[in-house]
Amino acid sequence: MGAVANITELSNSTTLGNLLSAIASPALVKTATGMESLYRENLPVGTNVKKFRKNGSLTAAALVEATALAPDANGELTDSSVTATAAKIAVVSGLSVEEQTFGNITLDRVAAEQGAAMGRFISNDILGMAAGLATTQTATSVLTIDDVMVAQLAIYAANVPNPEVMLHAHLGAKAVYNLRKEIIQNGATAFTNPNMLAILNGLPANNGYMGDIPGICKVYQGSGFATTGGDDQQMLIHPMWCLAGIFGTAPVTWYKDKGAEGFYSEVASYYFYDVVEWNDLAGVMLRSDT
Amino acid sequence: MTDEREKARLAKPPFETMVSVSDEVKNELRGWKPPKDRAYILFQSKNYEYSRERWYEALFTLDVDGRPEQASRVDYYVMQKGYRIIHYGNFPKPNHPNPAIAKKAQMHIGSDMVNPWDDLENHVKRYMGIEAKQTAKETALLEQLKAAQEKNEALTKSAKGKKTDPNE
Repeated sequence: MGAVANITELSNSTTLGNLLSAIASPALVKTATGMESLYRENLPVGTNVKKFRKNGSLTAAALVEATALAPDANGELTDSSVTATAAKIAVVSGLSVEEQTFGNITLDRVAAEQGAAMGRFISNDILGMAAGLATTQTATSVLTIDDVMVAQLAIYAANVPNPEVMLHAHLGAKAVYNLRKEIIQNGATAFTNPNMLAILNGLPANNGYMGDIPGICKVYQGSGFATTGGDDQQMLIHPMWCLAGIFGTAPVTWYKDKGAEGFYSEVASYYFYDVVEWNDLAGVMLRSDT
Repeated sequence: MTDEREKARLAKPPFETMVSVSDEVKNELRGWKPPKDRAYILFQSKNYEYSRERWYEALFTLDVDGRPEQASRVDYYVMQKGYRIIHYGNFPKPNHPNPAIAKKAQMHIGSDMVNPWDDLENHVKRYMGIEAKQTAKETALLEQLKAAQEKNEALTKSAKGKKTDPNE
């Protein structure tokens, strides 16, 4: 049957257009992780360079009675350092007067998004350090708890100070999935105790924190790891001694109204920081299937 | 990695680097993709596989995007850790064919019109130049060695031939 004529339909009336949903979906971008896994200091004053010092050590030797011992290599104390150079990251945006008058994107919202973008930039930098670590543990296929334990062993065997501090694992989603799956499928008595299941109880927090594997490490889930030979390059690190960084107190944001160049307001944010590998032996690269 | 995925990866051609690399590193470069639109330096790293107790070579990608003042970090990896620079890419230039990368260069060029990325590129090239010279020297020495070995072999054969010749 055809349409009935002369019916008053929705299109006959004047309706509102462009109504907005009550909430907006957040941008599907990566979570900024890693800041809690490194030693942090403020920016230097009067220079943009700070040296993270590494103490040397001396070696004692046995000495028989009535024997002289001249200063030698065992007694020469040499310190070393790793240089961090503060550099600027920045985001500049422009917001038209039309958008400011009739739209719903405000200057403050733009500034907040700029801060989030810089957070992700720094997170990328921190997670990228994983690929630079020399000691590695390569999973045969997917990451297993044994691989993480071997990495922990390597850090302990390297005499890294403060072994009482829980190590931090920064892993991709696939590696975290495989660890959780292994625990669930394991069925070992230890893992029937709720206290041993911290990594299964939680979902990723804002900083990527998933939970602990008791006695081994805190697990953080991130993304954007570098790859080599078809493997993700992730890391297990000592949060005090492996990586270090210098950071500004907070991003600085400027607001500037423009006219002659076009009617808009410029929002410019910048931030100074640097991240360096302080002690290579205090971290292990964990390689597992991408 | 599962056999099928690993087979598929190994069937791919290795990413071509600016300097020659060992077969082990070539295998690591199969299926490797450079970061898209981000400035990077690719190192051949020296890694110690703890559970297998062996040294091997792999890749380390240093992301330097937006931060041309990374020379000290490059020094650290080359001089202190013995890593070797084998490639770099996406360094911003004002005339870069990718407009997004060209824009990044404009952001860093100051009133003195100096592009700080050129400084980092020269720094990186210096290390790669040293590497290239070393490789050329090594190749020349290996060729000399091979020629000497062949000569030695020929002389040995001829000496043996002389001794065993019953007509002499």
